[in-house]
Amino acid sequence: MPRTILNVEGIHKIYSLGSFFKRLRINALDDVSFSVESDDPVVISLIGESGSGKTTLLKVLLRLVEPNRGRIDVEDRPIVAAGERTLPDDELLRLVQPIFQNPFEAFNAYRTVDKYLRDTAVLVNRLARGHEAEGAIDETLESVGLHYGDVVGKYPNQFSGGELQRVSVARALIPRPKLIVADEPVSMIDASLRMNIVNLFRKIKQEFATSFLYITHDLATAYYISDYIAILYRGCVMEFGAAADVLRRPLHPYTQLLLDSVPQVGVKWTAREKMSDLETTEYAFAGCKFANRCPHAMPRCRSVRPAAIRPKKGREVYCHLYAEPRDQTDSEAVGVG
Amino acid sequence: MKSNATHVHGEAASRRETVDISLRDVVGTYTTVRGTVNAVDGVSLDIAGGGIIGVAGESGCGKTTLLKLLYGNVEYPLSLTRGSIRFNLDGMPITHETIRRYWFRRIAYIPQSSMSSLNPVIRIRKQFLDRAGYSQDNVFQGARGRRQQRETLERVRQYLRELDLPVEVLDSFPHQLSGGMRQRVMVALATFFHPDIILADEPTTALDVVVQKGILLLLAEVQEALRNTILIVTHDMGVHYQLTHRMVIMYAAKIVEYGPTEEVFSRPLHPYTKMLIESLPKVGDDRVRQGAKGKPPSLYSELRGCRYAPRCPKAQAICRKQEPELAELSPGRRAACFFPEE
Amino acid sequence: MGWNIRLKIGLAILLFFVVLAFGVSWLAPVDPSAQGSYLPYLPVSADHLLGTNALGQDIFWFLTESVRNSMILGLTVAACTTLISLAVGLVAGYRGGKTDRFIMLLNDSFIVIPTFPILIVLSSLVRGRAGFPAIVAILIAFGWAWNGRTIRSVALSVREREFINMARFSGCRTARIVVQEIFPYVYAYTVVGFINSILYAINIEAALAIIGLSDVETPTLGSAVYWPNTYSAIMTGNYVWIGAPVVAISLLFLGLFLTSTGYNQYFAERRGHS
Repeated sequence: MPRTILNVEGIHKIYSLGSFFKRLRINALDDVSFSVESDDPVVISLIGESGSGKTTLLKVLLRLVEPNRGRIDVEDRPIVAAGERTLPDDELLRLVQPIFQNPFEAFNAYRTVDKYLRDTAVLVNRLARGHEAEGAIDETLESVGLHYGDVVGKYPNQFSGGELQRVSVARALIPRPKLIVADEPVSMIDASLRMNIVNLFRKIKQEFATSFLYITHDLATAYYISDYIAILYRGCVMEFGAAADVLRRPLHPYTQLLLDSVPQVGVKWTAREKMSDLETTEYAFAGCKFANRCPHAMPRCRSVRPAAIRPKKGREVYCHLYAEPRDQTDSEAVGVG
Repeated sequence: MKSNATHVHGEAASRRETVDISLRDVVGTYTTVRGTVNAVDGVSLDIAGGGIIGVAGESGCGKTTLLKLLYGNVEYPLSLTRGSIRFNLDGMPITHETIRRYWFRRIAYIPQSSMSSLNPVIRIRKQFLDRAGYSQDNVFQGARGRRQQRETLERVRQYLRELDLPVEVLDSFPHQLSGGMRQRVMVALATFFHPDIILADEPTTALDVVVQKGILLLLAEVQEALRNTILIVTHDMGVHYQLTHRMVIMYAAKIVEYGPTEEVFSRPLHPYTKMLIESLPKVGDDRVRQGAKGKPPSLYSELRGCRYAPRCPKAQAICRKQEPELAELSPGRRAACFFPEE
Repeated sequence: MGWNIRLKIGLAILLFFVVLAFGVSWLAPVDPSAQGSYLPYLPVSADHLLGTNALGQDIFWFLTESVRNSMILGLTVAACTTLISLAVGLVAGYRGGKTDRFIMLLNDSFIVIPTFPILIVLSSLVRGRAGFPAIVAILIAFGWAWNGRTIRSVALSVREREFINMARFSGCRTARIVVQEIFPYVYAYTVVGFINSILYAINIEAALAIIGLSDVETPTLGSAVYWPNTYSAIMTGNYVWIGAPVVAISLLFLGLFLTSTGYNQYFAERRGHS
């Protein structure tokens, strides 16, 4: 039976902003669910723009923030689950490790970078200081293409963005985690150097059997590296499935919009899209959050939240366009929509 | 917007002369704790006006500094230590010293982060009015009288409608608007006075792709209507492909290639340009792609010869000793390379 | 990255005073505060570098002991307030939430209470015999709040930085994070706060002493001004008696101020560099 690499179930996270008089509730994550089962390591991409909730989901997964509802399991072990016993912190660190977006922010400017490598080896891997720890560090640095001598004793500002991100990857790799969560890991790196890091992820996935949760808004690298893709918009999953499928044959209108908007070399843009100005109000929509901007919006879309429709195994789309005709007539008869 | 635009701006458009930009051995130097560094190191180019011209390159290539020098925003620690920048406006030469008089009216600047140029405690409508005092049209002169202010605001509202912006933004403070909306307001602010040149520094880098597309197309429409010149700096080659008519590629503080965008993409002359284009991943492209090898040289050290030579697969002895000129290899096409691609 | 000129001059002045206070002052031939050791009103000479005063004390030796006592006072107060403000600021800043609000409530109450009037009231109640330790205690009690708030804001802002998360995932616990990750950012403020605390302590003690509410028998910079003032030294033409401590206080404050701002500048430049 294939193991569940990542199971996200019914995650809700509500942020409350504003003052005593006027509170604004934002459903940063609104019933987010998706699940990937596999015997082999996979790369799952979480694609969304700002306000999609991808960063919030990352924080929930890393247990930096508690969700209002829902659960998350990694490799069949409970990470987040209300009322249940979840993985203790030290075991979490050996199972899941993060890579952050801005390598210059991810390291303390006052510390040498190897401080974090050493801490991880000693505190997470429980290796002894000195030979053991240094050996593990050396080995991991080599696998990301860096030399120990080039890294040790240096401060973050002595590295380039790409190099520093590699050090970050090495640090995350030291505990040999089963899942590495990478938050926009290449967005701050020059375009021509991005593929170096992306290819490194591929290599790590194969050599160390580590799965990746790759959070990004960059469809091109996501396409290149992912096995599965989940598209998020305003805290809701819009579409999920195998990467090539979702990006080559997008079902959801939002996915199609995203693909159309990427400035690709080769095909020129034609039309201007309708702009979204109602950002904060969109979070509170009862129906589909994309209804306001969707060229195919129907009356039903504004009042009823689409449920997951599975056109085939492993593929999900949350859109009324794909609902069975039978379902639609039933609800119309009842007077909904 | 198109039909309205020609009608409303028709007058301004027919008055427009193309602006030529002339850079002669421009050197822009930063004074830092570690010493001085030439972020732009001897750049010479004549750029004919009209159309959208892109300046591409990666971190440290000098494109943002070049834009700052062009705009005349040269303050410590940046200084123009050599060379000259001249604009040819209506046959009148403007140098980087005299350019301040033309800010807002004839040359406008769209920065990367709108929050740093919009006064956070002033409503948007006042930001328009403040700049109205600098406009070239007679109607805007002395916009102090209330009636004139109302008239100006009416024109602003009309312009916003043309750009498909909700007129309510005028009553808002900058922080009440989303990033995308703010940037569109910046575009409106910058273009309202029909400037001859618009300089945009990574105007959409911080924005989502969908919003980005909207703003870039807006810029394209504005350029088409006003028939002016837009210089856009961005590292995103996809944006250059979609938006620009001509391109300048920079590497390590120098210009390495120049030409019409379509040609630069289909037949890049400089090995760096070629490498840049080939390393970009594309949706739907299953080929294995490799990232670039190596990194640009440190501008603090002594540099000799072609700056790309250490990474160039075609580098020969002469490349390491002598610096190639930005030579015109065919009409309108320039590359700084001894062995350009064919 | 060199020290700037301010820092150099400031430290030079402080060095001079330190040598004076802790090196030279022990060499006094007799207890400087003992009255009648010498003939009064002796002029400046080789035996009496600044002459003697109306009470028969050697002005120079009295001054050096004053400097020493004032500096001990300043350093003690500064050390204690720095430790307290560090503890308060780091805990409040890192913990955040209710802990932060509660601590800051306490903190702000101390900021708001005016130190000097309270000291006047307390001192006058004890009628000029406020022992030195009592004064030190009060100065410490009122001196930590300002820096506490500063350190707390730094800690709050650093807590949001990404490298804190990285430290967490490298296995670091709270105490380690506070000391290794947050403290370096707080360090500069601590140094400046320390120096400012010395200034504050000496300043207030001197002010109290001048109006006679401190322990004026013990030589401090304040009492060194109190006595000539009481004896109307200016009227009687004993300019050296009152001039010497005034110049000394001014110079010492100048030294502290230059060191504080010079270090600030040095640190800012270094930060820009890194």
